[in-house]
This record gives sequence, structure tokens and C-alpha cells, in this order.
Amino acid sequence: MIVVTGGSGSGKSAYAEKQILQFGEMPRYYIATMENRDAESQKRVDRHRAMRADKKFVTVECPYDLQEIQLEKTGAVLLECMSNLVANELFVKDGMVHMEQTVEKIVQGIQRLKAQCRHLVVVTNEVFSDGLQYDEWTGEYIRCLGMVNQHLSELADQVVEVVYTIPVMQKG
Amino acid sequence: MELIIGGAYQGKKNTAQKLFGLRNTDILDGENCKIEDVFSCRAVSEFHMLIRRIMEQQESPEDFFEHLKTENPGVILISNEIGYGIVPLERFERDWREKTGRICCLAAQESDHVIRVLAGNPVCIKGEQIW
Repeated sequence: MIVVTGGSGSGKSAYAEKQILQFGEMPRYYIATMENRDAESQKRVDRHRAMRADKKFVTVECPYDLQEIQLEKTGAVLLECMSNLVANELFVKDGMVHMEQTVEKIVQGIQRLKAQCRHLVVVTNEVFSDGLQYDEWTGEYIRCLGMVNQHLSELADQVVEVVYTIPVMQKG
Repeated sequence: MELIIGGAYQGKKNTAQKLFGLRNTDILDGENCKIEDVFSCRAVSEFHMLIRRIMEQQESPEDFFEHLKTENPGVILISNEIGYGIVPLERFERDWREKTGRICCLAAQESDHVIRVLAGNPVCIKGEQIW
């Protein structure tokens, strides 16, 4: 399992995809966690879809409930992006789910997914260093993603920070 | 091309001066220099602010970078890493952050060295270490 992290516009998606291709010929799954709400996210989805064109990925939409995923075949799985999954799980219609509960649910989802594939690459996001004070909800979100990332890192063989397309190894 | 990156106030400019033998006057300030001067300078600091100014003028940062690559291939770019926070709600701020990342990706690909500075310490993340 590889965790790919980085700031916005750092080239982490392209790097993660390259890793999947390097595993060679096998079934490829792309687990998309972004909910498609507006033109801007549509643009982002289109950009990522274009990047995956001809690479034989089966796209699985999964904005929440990762633990429910049942893959047909064993292969290489790219999950993108943890920052969306955490937001979708944490913020629900009637308010906010308890943070610890969200962390536990997501970590279990990842473990189940990991058991179903040969290679798992998880893309996450570094959102932790702007030093700004946010409202309570955003603060909880940042904490939650930070906790999830720590768990991911523990489960992973390799953690790579992508800095403007350059991989910087943080673990492994 | 060379790229020097890092958080704010980490000594990036000093590092650039030491590593590449630059004088203070060799480095343009991307926040208030004339944009056309960047095509003939040795180095430009606050590159992320230069990208912002280009976007504020509704010009394409990609076109600007293409032009820079051709006109001034040996330029030394010094930029803050601004992509490590919560994605801003405001559209322009969000686009600026993303675009700065994308342009720095292009710059990193063009550069012989990418040097990341933390608390005054340079770490070479691309290319042979030059010190």
C-alpha cells in the first residue's frame, strides 16, 4: 500500500496513477470519492477522467461508505481523494458526525479495501500548514484528516509526498 | 532553470544568493517588479505573487511560463509553497493556489535543481547537490 500526499496542484494524482500503471497488467480500479456538485468539480472530474483515459480503469464512485465496496477482481486500486471522503463522512445533512467515529469508519473501510486488492494507492492531501484559525467545523475536519492520514501511514508500506511532481519519500 | 521553494520566511532568497552567487540586485521581487523584466533577469523571488499578478490581469500563467521558458531559460525562480492549507472558499484564491502549484510543477520539470529550504537549510529534491 502506498499513500501519496501533497499540496494543491502538486501533481500527486498524476504520480499516483503512474504508480498503478507500473504494477503492470492487472485489473485497475479507480475509486472516486468526490461528489459532483458543481461545474468546477465537474471540470476536475473531467480532467482526472481524461488522465485515466485508455488506461483501462474501472471507475467506482464512492463518496462515502467505503466499507461497502466489493471489487469483482483482485488488482490495483487507486483511491482519490481522502480529503473528500473525510469531508463527506464528517459533514452530513443534519450536522457533523463525531470525529473519532469517522476516523474509525474510514480506517476500517481502508483495511477492507486493502484486503481485496493486490496493490492499493491512496491519495490524500496536506491541508495542515496554513496556520489559519478556522471555525469549529473546519477545525474538526482538519483534525480528522490528520488522524486518518496517520492511520493510513501506519498501514502503508510507503508514504510519498509529491512536491511539484517530485516524489519525496516520507516512509519506506 | 532553477527552482527554490519552501514556506514563507525560511531563508529562500539568502540560500539562492549563496548557492548561485547572486547579488541582491540580481533578484527581482515578483510582487512589484515590472513583469516584462522577468524575461531578462537572473532571478525572481516571490514567484507565487508574480503568478497572482498575472492572474489579476486576467492573463494566462501557462502562456506566461511558456514565454519565460523560451526567453529566459536560465532564470532562477524562488517561490513560496502555498498549497498546504485548506482550499479557500473564494474562487480567485482557490484558483491562484492551484495555478501556482501547476506552474511550479512545470518549473520543476524544466529545472536542473529543485531546492527546498526549511529554516535556512537547503534540501536538494531534484538534481545533484551543488554545495
